[in-house]
Amino acid sequence: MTLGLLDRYLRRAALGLKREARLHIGAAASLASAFVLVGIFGLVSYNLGRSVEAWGMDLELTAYLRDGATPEETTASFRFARGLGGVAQARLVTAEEAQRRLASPGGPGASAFAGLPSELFPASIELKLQPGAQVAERAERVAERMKALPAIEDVDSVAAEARRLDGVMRLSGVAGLAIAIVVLLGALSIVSSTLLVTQHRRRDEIELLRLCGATDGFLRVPLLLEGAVQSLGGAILALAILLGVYLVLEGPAGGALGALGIVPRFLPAWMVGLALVGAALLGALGSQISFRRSIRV
Amino acid sequence: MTPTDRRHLVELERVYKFYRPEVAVLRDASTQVERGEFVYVTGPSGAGKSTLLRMIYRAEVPDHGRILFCGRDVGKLRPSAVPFLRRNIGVVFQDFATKILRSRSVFDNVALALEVLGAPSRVIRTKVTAVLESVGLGGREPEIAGNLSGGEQQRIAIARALVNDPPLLLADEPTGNLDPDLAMDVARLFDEANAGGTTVIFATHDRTILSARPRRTVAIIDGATLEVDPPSASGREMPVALVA
Repeated sequence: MTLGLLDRYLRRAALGLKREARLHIGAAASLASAFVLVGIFGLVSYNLGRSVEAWGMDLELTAYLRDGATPEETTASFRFARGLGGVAQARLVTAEEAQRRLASPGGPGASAFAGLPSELFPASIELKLQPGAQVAERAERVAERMKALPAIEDVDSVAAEARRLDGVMRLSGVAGLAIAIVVLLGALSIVSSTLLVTQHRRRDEIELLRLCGATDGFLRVPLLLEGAVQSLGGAILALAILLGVYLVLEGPAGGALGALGIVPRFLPAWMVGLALVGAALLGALGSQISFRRSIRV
Repeated sequence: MTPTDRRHLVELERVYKFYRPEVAVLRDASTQVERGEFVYVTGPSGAGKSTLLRMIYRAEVPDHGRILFCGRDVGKLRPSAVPFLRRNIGVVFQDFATKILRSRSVFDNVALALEVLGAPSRVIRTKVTAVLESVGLGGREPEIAGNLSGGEQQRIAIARALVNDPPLLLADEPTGNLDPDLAMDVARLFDEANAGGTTVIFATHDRTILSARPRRTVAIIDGATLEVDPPSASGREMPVALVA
């Protein structure tokens, strides 16, 4: 497409938007209400995802070393643990350190464990898992491989906790996808219906243009641009509403969420950019659908 | 004149068109139109005049036979090529009220045909002004088309059909909705376009027009094309001169 042609299409699209301004504004408002729903869910999912990720980062497995494990076996086990896939960090905790932790002032057994010999406390390797999806599977896999080592006596399983996290992430993903599909189909229908109405109102003009030798591109591209602009307008309006609501609720809700370990944040710039591009593409797609349905001369 | 110039601009070769099985609107219709010629197509209402014109600008295709424009079979054009055929053909209809954009200015209505071609704004301004002058609407560019009289609206349609200098102008009963004086004025515009080199195919059943401006006349009778002599000024029956 040459620049001259693009300029002509842009001018025709601008003219079309201007002539049917009220119709397009109404449609953009309808789209905005649909996009706000998607945005709310996106915001909740984003913050939930962040929280789940943070919880996932705290997930630790503790592999207890067998009594009598030689220093070579201990070192080999530690190296093995560090090299395991899905493990972010591995730390060797000696018997002395384990005792120190328990017996430290304010520790869980400060007075009870203070005088006991350190041999009573098993040395261990603490493994932090990498954040992300399928935590439960990864935790189980790591636990099994550690258990197979001769120097390891037992591994504290965090699989149940991890499974819960996985469940939350999976549920929010599925629900998000379902809601997004329903709302986006609705938005697609709004865009295509609005542009179908626009095209019916311009039926005479389209008929005349075809008679004068207008190509499909000449008729179609400005309409695609109109659809994209209309949908983009709806998305910008929706984001403005969402941001306004977020700023109003951030204070009162922030405290309650903070107690649950959730620090709310608005959608990041890349998500906002993606939403705007997606909305524009959705508008163009809706326009394309309406063009195919419109009357041909 | 080179051999290419002498080629027929439009040729109908044994064209059949059916809207219902066994009922042919056009049956074995054949004729040729030379470059620069002015041809009337006449016949009673429903004879198939409009169908014939619609097939020339590929709004419809023949069921049998061929229609050639500059030697190309328009029925065989790919859909993507049809716009380029239409850029060479100006079309004026009887029902001008639905064929102009009533809420738009006179200028906008005419400029449409040049916008489609991608003409620069300056060229559009110059050509639209000139063509409106030639059809008697000079200085009326900013007026809203719907506010003009019927005859003036038809002039807008003619100006739009002529503005890109097409080699062929098709007129489908363009005077049908006008009173006799206005009809003669509008018909004169087609004469002037033809005098400027544009080939004109003018469908009408208006005997006054046919007799006042005698030209080669093709009648469609029972779906077939017949070369006929134009009616006399007295308005008597057209004698059949040649059966196609």
